Amino acid sequence: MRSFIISICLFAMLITGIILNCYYVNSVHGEMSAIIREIKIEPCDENEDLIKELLNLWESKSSMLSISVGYKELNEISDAIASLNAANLYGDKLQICIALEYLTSAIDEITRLEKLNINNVM
Amino acid sequence: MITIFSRTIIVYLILIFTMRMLGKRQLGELEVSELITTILLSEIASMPITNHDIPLSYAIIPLILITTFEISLSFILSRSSKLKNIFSSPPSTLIRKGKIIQSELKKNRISPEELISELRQKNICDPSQVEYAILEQNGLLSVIPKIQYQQPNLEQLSILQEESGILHIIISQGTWNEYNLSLLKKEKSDLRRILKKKHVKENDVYLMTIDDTNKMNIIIKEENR
Repeated sequence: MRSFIISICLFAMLITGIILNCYYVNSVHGEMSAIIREIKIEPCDENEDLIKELLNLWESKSSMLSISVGYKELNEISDAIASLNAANLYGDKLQICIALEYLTSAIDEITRLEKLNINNVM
Repeated sequence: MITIFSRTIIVYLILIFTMRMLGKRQLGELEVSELITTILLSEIASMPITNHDIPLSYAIIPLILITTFEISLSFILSRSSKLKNIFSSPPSTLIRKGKIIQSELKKNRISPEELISELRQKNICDPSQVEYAILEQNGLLSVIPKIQYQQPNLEQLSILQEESGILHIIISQGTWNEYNLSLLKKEKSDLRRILKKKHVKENDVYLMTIDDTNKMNIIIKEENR
C-alpha cells in the first residue's frame, strides 16, 4: 500500500512537472518570438541591441530548457542566433532573412515537441 | 516531455498486449507486467548513458512512469481476480487425474514432448502418475503426483522430529549481526561469555549461528585455527 501511494505521488509529480515544463517552454517561445518580430530585415544598430537581448535571454533560459529539450534542438537555436548576429554585423540583408527564418523554425520546433498530436506520438 | 510521456504509455500497453498474446510460455517465473517492466527498464536506463544527445529526462520520465504502472497494476490486480485474468492468462490444467487435457495443451501451444520433458525434470516419467499438472500464471509447471507416487513424509512415517527452524547468523567474519541479535532477544554480553568459555575471541569467529532451538554453531577463521 505504501509503495502504491508513493507511486501515485510520483505520478502526480511527473504530470505536474510536464505541465509546468510545457508552460515554461511556451513562455520562452513567446518571449523569443516577440524579440524576433521586432528585428528588421535591414541591417541596423537597433537590430544589434535586439540580437544582444535575444542572446542574453537565450543564455539565461537554455540551461533550464536542456532538461526537457534535446541538445540537437538547442544547438540549432544557438547556431541560428549566431548566424543572425553575423549577418547583421556584415550588413547582409539576404542572410538576415535566412537566419530569421531558420531561428523561427528552430524555436517553433521546441514547442512542437511539447504538443500532443499524432505526428509527435507516432 | 509530453511526447515521451504518451509514447511510453503506448509502448507499455502494446507490450502488455503482445506478451499477453504470446501466452505463459514466454514468461518463466515472471508475470506479464513484471517481464515487460524488466525489459523496458533495462533498455531505457542505458539510453542516456550511451547516447549523449539525449537529455536525462528522456529516460527519467519513462522510468518513473513504468515503475508507477507496475506498482499500481500489481496493487489493483491483487484486489481483482477478474482484472488479473485479463492482464495475465489464468492457470491452465494440463493433466487432470492422470489424463492429459489435449485442448489445454493446444491452447497453450505446448507439445506432448515438451510436457513429458517438464515432467521428467520433476522426476515423473509417466503422465498417468500425475494427479494434477498446472501451468501457472508465471509460466512454471506445478506438478502434484498421485498419492501412491508421492514420497512419504515424517508424519506419515510416524517419526517425531523437533523443529529446528532456520539458522540465524549472529557473527559473520567477526562482525555482530545486530538485527538477528534483537530478533532472537540475545545479549552480546551473554554470547561473549559463551565465547570466552570456549576460549574463542569474537574477532576469530568466521561464522556463529543460532537456530530456533537455541543450538549454537561456531566456525573459527581458518588463519586462527
